Amino acid sequence: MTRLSELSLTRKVQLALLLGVVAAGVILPHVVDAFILRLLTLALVSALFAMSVDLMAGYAGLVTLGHAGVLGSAMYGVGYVASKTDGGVGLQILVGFIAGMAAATIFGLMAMRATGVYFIMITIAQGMIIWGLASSLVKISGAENGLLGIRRPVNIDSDIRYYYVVLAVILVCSLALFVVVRSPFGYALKGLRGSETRVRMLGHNSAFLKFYMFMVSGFFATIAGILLVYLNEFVSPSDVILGASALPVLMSILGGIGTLVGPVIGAFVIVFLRNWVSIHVDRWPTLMGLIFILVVLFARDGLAGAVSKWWHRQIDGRGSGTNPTRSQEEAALPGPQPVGPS
Amino acid sequence: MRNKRIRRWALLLAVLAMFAAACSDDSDDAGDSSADAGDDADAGDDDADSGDDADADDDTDADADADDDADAGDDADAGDDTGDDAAIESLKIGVLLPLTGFVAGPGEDAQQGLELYFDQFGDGSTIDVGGVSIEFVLEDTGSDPAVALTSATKLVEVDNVDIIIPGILASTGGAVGDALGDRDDVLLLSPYSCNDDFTQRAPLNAYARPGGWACSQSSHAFGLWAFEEAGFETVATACADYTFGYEHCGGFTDAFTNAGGTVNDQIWFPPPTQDFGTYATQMNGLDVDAIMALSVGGAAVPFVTAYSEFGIDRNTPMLAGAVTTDQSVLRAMDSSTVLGTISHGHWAEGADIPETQAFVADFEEATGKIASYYAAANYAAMQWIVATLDLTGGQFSPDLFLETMKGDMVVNTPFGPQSLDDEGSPILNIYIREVVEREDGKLWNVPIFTYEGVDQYFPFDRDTYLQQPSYTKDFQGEAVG
Repeated sequence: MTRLSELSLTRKVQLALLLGVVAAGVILPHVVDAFILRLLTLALVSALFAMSVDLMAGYAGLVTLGHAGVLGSAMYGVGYVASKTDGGVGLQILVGFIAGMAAATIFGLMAMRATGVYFIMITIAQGMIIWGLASSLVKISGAENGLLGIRRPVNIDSDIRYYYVVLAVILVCSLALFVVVRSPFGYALKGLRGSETRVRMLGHNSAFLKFYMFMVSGFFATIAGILLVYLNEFVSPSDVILGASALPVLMSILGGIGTLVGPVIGAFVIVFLRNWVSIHVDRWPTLMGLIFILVVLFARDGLAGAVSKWWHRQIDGRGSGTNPTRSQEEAALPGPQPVGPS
Repeated sequence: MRNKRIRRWALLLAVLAMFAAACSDDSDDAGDSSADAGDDADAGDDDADSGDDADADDDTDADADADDDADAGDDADAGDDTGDDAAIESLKIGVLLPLTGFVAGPGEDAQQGLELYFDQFGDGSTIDVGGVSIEFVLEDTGSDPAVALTSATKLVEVDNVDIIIPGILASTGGAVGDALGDRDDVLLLSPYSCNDDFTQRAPLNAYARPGGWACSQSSHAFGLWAFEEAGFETVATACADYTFGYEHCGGFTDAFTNAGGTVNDQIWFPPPTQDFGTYATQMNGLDVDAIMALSVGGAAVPFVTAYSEFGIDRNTPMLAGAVTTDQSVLRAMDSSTVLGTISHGHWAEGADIPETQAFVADFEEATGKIASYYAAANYAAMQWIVATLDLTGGQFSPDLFLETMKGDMVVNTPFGPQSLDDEGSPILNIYIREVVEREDGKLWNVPIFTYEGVDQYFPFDRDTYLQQPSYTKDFQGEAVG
């Protein structure tokens, strides 16, 4: 256990920022109106979903464009029990969880041997299958009408209580993801990004590795799905369209792909851009496109990467740089330490 | 090195220029709306700081918001003071429309129809009805029910609207209806989304469709017409494979077979289909008197073109769905492919009704387009709201409004005379229409036969009709497998 005084300046700032953000998350709902509260909740859920996608797209370098299929399966699982049967909340969540994990398992089995472009193609197809089922299985999914009559559990019915439930779940999940990406499994995933052949040379079964990746990522996507369906109290095929799968990837790229904090920043930026800025500006999709162009041109590592680069330039400039041998990539904000697993 | 830097700056400048371009239009709009908000504040709060007036001209968005909030707060206070059926000073209507996304085209027409009404009867942003100031707040749904839900939250919680028009798509209408179903302080009026069951087997709370229709309403009449008046005996359907398609084509099939006809075949294609080659080949092989076809939005043009180019129309006339030859897509069609096509609907821009022609002329003068059903529906909904407020003597509560609308009211809308039944669904004219060329060469739909006073069950008996399930792909009426 390192003492606070032994931490580098960068770490201290990171810690302070983290505490500040969590504190803001706890206090904010009391000072904003119901609309902003809803956006905050939505942004948190989107952040979890984006993190689950980033585990694949960022850490393992396997871009998925079908993950809304997992999220959506969980949503439809909850929605089906809630609107077509008289099952209670426990059963709703259980069925939602099973549906989401089943989708992740099937997706994983289908895509575990694919690489590169073929991986993207397969995941697109997976997402489209779920979309196709959602729009044609009228009796189960209600097709375009969606599933109506989903209600939050009574004791967390109010928007503000639900926000705190979401916040708590997201904090726990972030912590879990933090552990996952620093585990040997996490490093093996990064190995996949570097060179799958080498990972295999080192004795890993890369296909199994990808399958586990689908399961872990699918687990968090499933949780995001359950949170989202209770937030909207509604699910329809537009929750599982290709665009819904692409959005978390865009969030990750915008915030900083291959980090955990990046997807969170990206999720907040996109959710607020889409819903809040659109009140004032009619052509918000144009603005969003331009912001993406700017990020790709001037901040390859996303917003988190840009900030971290700027920070390191500042402290290097003052001559008190932490570790000049650190490569820039590894310096990305809460980026992992350059020491390997034991 | 320097070259690279220069190139980078050039790129940055280009992107910034695009930003400016994107915002220039918007800043106009935003300017308008903030100016409006400023006006309201002036009108409403006499005791407000006089400094506001000076600011009003170059109000920023943030200021405008603050003004909105202030207004909303006042409304709530007024409501609290006097209880339920209270006289009100202002009525706020929240309008959700798809201004972006795949139904943005119809969304634009709908917005223009709404604005035309406020231009004609008010100052563009407010209308004064017997001392009550009616205003609207427009929000984008992005053609996505999840976004619509967020926008609806904003309308209800931040803008404190009294009435919500929940978008064009059936899915957005359903999602918003369900989310607000528990609230009895917001009235849902839906001139677009037409899901049969919302006024039939699964009625929504505080919901009615003034200026609207039920999805199977006009096609019921069409099925009857096809057998009794046109004399077709065997028909096939080719319809978009989603809820609206099921209800719209189910209505036709049910009424047609019930009258004595036979539906031989049903072809379903995904709503966004653009290449109809394979479906055209299938349709060409059918031995039927006519084909009832429904394709929607951007898919309507390629469908009608394929129908003509594959020569299907030479032997088998097309009986088009209500929106397949709607003015919103007819504008983009070629007269050689679509001229003479028979269709049906509760809207006929060529109808020889004074209200219709007055609206079509006004809309064309304002926008240069012949009015589509989407433009007319918002206009009619506003007529309904104003007429109802007139009748209640400036009082508003969702219950009072619903009760008044479902009473003896008849509103002469551009659709023709409309009244509401006990479930809040309209009783109106259904037109069997033909696409013809107007004097100036533009295409429009002119009625060749009219069913008057059609309710959502026509031609069936209400109670028998409600015993059968709603139309799905599997259930298209008793006589079909």
